[in-house]
Amino acid sequence: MEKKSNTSRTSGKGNLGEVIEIKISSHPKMMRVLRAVSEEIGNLAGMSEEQIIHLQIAIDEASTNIIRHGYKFDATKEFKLIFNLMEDRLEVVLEDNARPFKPEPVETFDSDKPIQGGLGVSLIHRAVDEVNYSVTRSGSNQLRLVKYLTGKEVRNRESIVATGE
Amino acid sequence: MKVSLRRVNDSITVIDLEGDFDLYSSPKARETLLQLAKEKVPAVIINLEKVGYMDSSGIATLIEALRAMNKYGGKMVLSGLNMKTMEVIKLARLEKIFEIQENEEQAIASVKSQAR
Repeated sequence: MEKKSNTSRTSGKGNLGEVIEIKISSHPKMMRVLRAVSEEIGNLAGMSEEQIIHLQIAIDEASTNIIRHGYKFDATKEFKLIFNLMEDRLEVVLEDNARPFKPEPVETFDSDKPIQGGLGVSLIHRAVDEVNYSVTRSGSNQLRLVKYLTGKEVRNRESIVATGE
Repeated sequence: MKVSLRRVNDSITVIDLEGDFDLYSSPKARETLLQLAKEKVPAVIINLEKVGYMDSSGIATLIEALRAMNKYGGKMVLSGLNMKTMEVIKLARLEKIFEIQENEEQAIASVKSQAR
């Protein structure tokens, strides 16, 4: 894992220059590691326990989609996550080079109707405030997730920075 | 993920899951749950007390098991959910689809009361 100064790709208003970039193998067992990283970054952002759970769910489901639908469980492939902690939000960009895949969310599930796929995508949409999918000029898939922080969380973060805890 | 079974009595079986219930581990739980459905076990309590995290693969497994048990009139109850596992069920808007009890004792009591 690499913590580095900001790049133009993730720049924006209120950028604190706190960027963490991770490259991870496309294997389901890596999800535990990713969840632990997401939790730490949520803590760093001053998020509440519930918000951290939502962040973990969104990142977990987005990564799972890359592993399952994008790379079809090919563990030799890799994908990248860029966490950008900004003044009022946390942005997470997931980037992979699989075939473009944009599953649509479903509204609800019940015990009688078949599972049509898209449950994970629905969870992503409900867990974060913004979800944007795009394809870069070089052909990579980019999924951008945004979780906005309230004043309370920003103060929590300032307290974490001040005390070093 | 560890998956183990306990027979409470002739009609109630408890399945204890331990670890994360996700894309990596859900096939193991799925196999056991569908086998119980195949045997037409009257009531299955899924003890999630030691499950730290559940993703959409875990939820899909639970939905599949619920459907399989509904077909023969079997009951499936979830117990021992923590904040993380409960939150993912709430986000999926499935808290009314599953019967959820706080702990195993209450789940057993619920199954027994409905059997009367």
